[in-house]
Amino acid sequence: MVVVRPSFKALAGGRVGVRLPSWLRTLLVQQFGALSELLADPAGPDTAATTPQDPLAAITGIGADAPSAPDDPVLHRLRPDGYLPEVEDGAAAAEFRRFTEADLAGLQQQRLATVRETLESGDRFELDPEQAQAWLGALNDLRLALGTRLEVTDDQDAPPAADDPRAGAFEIYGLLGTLQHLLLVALGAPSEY
Amino acid sequence: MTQAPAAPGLDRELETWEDTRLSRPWVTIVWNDPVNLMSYVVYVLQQLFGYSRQKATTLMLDVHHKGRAVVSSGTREQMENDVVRLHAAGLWATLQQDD
Repeated sequence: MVVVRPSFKALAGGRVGVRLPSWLRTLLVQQFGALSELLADPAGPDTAATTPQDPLAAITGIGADAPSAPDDPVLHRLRPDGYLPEVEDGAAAAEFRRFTEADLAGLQQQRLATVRETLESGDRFELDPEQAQAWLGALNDLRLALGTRLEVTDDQDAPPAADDPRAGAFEIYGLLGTLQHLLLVALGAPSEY
Repeated sequence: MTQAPAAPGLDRELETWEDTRLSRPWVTIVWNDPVNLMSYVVYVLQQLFGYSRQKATTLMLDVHHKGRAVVSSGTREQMENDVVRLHAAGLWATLQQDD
């Protein structure tokens, strides 16, 4: 039996050759799909701001993935403030968000779409330089989303015990870090960190 | 109707204050976060700002150890643009007037 390890390989012309085991490809389709749903916010931030909090969600902690939740820490991390709140009483941050958030949201969805398309092409595929950047950004968005949801707070966070309900998600989070690192090395980033 | 009593020197003080405020550059600050890979942060700083690997690494280590680093400075418009590009790359950045 041959164990397929994920690999990202630098090719000529800034292209990157990708090979993924089938189970990993399936997992990535699921994870990127979930992120895409979370980030899709057809109601728009203005209506979202007036949506009342679900009291049940506050008790159970479930429901934080409601895409319109304005204070969802994942959405806030992926679309952060451009000014600290103390600058002009937060008015500058609101103004910045009003002018930039839609473009950022569009970019995030666009690179998720690129990743989805390439993943549909099989367990082996090539990325052109633009697609490689889309992969890099989308992988990072996914890690930010998972890391925020898991409340990763420290660079050397110890993995949870095997019977912890978050253990599986932590494993995926770690795996995504490995994939991003492999892609970064293929793109010429430093490998010592 | 009456006029406010003259306050000699006040106009000049205001002018000086305005000058100082206008001449103080704006800066872009990148904040530490526990998720972004160190190699990724170096890569992004090199890609976005054209910094050498050494300079990008120094800035990344500042962010990592001190919690923040000023990565660029210039006009407010330029810094807003830098913050937009950093957010697009998933780094948390803010702009403010240098203090």
